[in-house]
Amino acid sequence: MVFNIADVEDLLQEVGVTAWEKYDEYDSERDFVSWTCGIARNKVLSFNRLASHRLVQSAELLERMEQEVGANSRTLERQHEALRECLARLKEPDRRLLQIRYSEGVILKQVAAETGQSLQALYKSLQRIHIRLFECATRRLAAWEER
Amino acid sequence: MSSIRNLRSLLLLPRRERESPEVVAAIRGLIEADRKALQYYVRWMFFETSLQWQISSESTERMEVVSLIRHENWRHRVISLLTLAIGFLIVSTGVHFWTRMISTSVPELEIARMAGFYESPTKTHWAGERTKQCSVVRHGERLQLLAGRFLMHLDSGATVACTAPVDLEVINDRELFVHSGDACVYVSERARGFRVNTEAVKVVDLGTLFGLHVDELGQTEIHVLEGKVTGETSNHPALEINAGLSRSARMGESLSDPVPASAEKFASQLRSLAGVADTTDSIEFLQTSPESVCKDALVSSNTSFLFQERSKFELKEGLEIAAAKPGRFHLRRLPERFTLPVETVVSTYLLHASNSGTTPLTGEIHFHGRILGFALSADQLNATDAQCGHPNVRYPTSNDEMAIRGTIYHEERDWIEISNDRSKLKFQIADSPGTFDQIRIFVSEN
Repeated sequence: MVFNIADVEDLLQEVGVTAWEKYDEYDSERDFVSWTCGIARNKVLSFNRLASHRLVQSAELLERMEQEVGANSRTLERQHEALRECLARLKEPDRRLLQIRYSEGVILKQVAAETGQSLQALYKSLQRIHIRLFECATRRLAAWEER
Repeated sequence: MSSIRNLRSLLLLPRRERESPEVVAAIRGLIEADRKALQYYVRWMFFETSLQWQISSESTERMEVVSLIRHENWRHRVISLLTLAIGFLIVSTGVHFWTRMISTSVPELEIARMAGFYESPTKTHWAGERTKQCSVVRHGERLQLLAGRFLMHLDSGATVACTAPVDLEVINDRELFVHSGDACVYVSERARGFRVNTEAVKVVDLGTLFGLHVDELGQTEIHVLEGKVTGETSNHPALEINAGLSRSARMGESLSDPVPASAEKFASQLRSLAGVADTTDSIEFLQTSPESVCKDALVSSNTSFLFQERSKFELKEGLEIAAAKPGRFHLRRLPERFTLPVETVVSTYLLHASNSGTTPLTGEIHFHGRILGFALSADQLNATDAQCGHPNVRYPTSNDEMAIRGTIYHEERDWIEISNDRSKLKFQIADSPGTFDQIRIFVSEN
């Protein structure tokens, strides 16, 4: 398992590229999340071997995580869709702030200075948006499962 | 649930803090210990990855986003300001509405601050609607007296005496503007710095008694009777004017050279300032105290003399004097004796008559305050000289002189009469060859 966000982002990019390259090998009968998680797991293990000092050295924990992902792959896939709908309903200023947050090379401190807001205020706003989106996605998942 | 709550708060930390070894260890501890926390973590990581994936796909240039946020920021501020402005308008409109409602329903409500009050001992005629003999004076009020006179007591401690015609404006309790007429100003210690302005000059008191004569063109004579003032004309430096001197001011010119001041020009005002509203012509009010009130000092066949001995002072010990009750008193009906209590604040006046003629002297004195009592007999006068006499006046000290002071020696020809409101004293003093008649009058503070 990777706890460093930068590493996660690197790995995610690699997983994405690999999934794109191997999409032809994907069997549409299989669960897409499980398939990409398999790719991701291999990437994590590979990364683990290359940079062991930066990763959590717990095979047991990694295994438990894989089990959770496998057991809830359908939910996680639906969460992706639920999030898309929640994002569509997100207010424009909040969406822009998220864009800043996830833009490459953007330093929030600098953004705070440029927009005249305090860094603390930006962090608070981001926290509020994340919680709202996560709860929105959770509610939608619950609603879908009740149908 | 608490482990999930703790986990969520850790996951919401800013990126740099979340990647710190301490936070990573805390997250690992939570998800290793609690399966629900592990499930939450997995869901969160997928959520965050999914969010990043979807947001990143919306390509937006950074500067554009910054600009949009900044714009949003401004929009938020403008909306906040507009909300505040609208709120303020609503509140102020409400206040204005109720103020109007109150002022309409209570038309006599006076808003200007009170500066003091005036009193007119005699009938007066004012310009405008003013009719009262006594009334409060407010900041910015203009007093235009066409006939009569008035005495104005300002809250600052200044007292102004005016005789018609006079036109002045009370700027506040520490400043007057005299448009025209005569005004005499007594400034107590606490009112030092009191200002009197005219078209031609600005006068600032430095602890004093002074008179102003202002003509219709605003040209001003300043007569300083006690203490000193400064006078300043436009474009010229302020000059001091000391007691006993007078200077004139014309617009645009510097003050004239000093000449002797004339207290006579302000006789009526000065008498008023001394607490005497009026006297009959047979009484000469002395602006300045005489050197002596001993035998043969002030002799006249048709005039008696009156002067103020002490002004508004506190008695250090009780005094046994004659009580001033309304009515006429003479040898067969002498006024009762009573003790004027210690710490009573009084002003004292001495009426002196050394009648050299054969006709009794008569007269009437009208005080601003109430008459409390008299020292009529020789023993009462002698006993009160030290405490109530003028410090610069020589009083009888020899046994002979001390024995022949006082009044009401003749059964029918000497008498005094007190008005019902105890503000007026009438008297008749017969000729008394070889003697002199004196009455010390105790008057309360107004």
